[in-house]
Amino acid sequence: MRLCLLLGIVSGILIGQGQNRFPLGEIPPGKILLVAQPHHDDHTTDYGMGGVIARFVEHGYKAYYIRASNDEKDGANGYPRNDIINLKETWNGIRILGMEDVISLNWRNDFMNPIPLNELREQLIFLIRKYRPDVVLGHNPWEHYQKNPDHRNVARALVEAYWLAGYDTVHPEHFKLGMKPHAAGHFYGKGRLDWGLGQISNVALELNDSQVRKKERAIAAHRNVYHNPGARRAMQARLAAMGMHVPELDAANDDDASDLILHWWMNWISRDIGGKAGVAYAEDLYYMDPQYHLPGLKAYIDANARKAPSE
Amino acid sequence: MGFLLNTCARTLTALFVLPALAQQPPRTIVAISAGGGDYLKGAGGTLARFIDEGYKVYVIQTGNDEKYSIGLGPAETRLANNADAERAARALGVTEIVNLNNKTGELSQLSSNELRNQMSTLIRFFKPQKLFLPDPYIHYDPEWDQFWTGRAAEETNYTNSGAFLAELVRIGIKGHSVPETYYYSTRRPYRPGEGGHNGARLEAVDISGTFQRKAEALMQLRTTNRAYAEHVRQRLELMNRPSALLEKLDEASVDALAREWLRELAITIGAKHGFSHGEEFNYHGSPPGERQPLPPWILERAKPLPRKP
Repeated sequence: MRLCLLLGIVSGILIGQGQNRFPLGEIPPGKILLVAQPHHDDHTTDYGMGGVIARFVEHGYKAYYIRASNDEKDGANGYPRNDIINLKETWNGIRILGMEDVISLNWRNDFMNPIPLNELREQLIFLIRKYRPDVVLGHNPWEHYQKNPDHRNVARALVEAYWLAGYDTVHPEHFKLGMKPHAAGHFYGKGRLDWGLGQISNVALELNDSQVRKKERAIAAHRNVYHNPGARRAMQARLAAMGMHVPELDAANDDDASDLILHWWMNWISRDIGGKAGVAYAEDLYYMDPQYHLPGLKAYIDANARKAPSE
Repeated sequence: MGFLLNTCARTLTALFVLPALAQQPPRTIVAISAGGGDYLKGAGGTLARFIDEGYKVYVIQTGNDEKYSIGLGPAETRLANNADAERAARALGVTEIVNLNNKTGELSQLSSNELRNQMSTLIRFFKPQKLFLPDPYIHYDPEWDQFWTGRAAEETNYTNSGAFLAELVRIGIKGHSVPETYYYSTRRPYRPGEGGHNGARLEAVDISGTFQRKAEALMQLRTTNRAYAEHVRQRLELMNRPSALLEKLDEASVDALAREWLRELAITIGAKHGFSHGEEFNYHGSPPGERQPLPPWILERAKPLPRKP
């Protein structure tokens, strides 16, 4: 009886812990990853996916980044200069992650709510047909408490493009340019969590040390918005008021300390999610493939699918 | 002796306390509302508490309320509802309603940038410390004006930075960041999974002391309350459950139904939080004087300062 009780308690604890854990996912087979986000830095932020991009690239994927807006509001240099600097720094960031190219669509930053969504969607359909990704990665359009209109609309246009790019009835003018329909197999979405319950993720992808290091460096590449030489002294003053100090900040100069703080931020987030997935480092996402909500159908296809005979 | 002490106290107050109070920025709240009564239903008791603490409350109403009536045309409905809303605001203690006069029930046709910029302009002008807005993530409300109003209102979080609306900056109206945001659910309590997660918190407010004033304010919305009572009566008849209370629709029966509706909402929310009457909000931000804690990625590296020899 006591043994049953003990086993019951232990299994209850384990089940309870299991409920708090994200299931670990694997990188799906494929060669091309297409990441579409509104802004220069969205690939690697607190709600970004820089580590996952680095993991796809290390797995052998070629990865491309679509920046949908012109980022004119991000920075203190006026609209046109912010646009130029942020685009240059997008390049710096994505190179660190190992990506191939940036395609900038140049919609007006933070004014994307009433834009014609079909037009943005058509651009994304065109790019899906051009690059023919196996995996599409972006923001989750069903996310709640997202104050930024660009995120909401790019995400919505992206999942619609993911859905429609495979149909030969959609934008047939593309086919005159040599494009063919293309249905990508996998979608991963991110949600922003600092303003509320953005999304409930359904998978975590484990990251290794190398991928986390790339993520740390990629965010710091966006100096126009993240480089903050005053951060060191502000932190030191607040710590001193608590009778504390951080030796690494004391030893660094202002510029290096700014980068250090960004690195620590990305590292902590990766460890935090990793802890919820039972690994050292991870990022959490909402994953969909055409059968993700019907695991029985997936099992049927896995058991019965045969390679088509070559023509 | 008493007179002397009293005079001294008054002199000290005049010399030190009053100038200090005068230097404080005025305490201001902007409440954004789709119709003239929505902010009352979702947040009236809380706003009344803040008004009693010395806040001035300005309401930005996005819709013209031309739809909610029985037996009136659109223009008459608008006139009646706007007059009702003014009386309700006065009853609660609101300083002013600014009506943007967009067509009620048709806000989805508006440019959301235009609506957002109108709100941003007024927020920059009033410079509130607190912003109340309808929560656009409250699902299953068939009145989509709540959604379109809430969505544009939460975007003002972005557009009130100095990088936006250069034309306003040029004429001297600078950006204004609102430190505290209260999302309200207009017609029902928050449900599990809505509000209060991660960086936000579900803020419950005890409105037992101001409920009566909230109810008195709501009673002023005679035109919409009457339309509501008429619709309830018709639906009950369709269901073969006519109510004797609504057999004759007069001021007393309409008021009784509106009061009961409001009471049910307040006690349902209150019961969740241990109050007799309550309101609840998805709250983002920091109250005045409260600093964000140092982030965990700094604190995990912090060590005690070495003692000086």
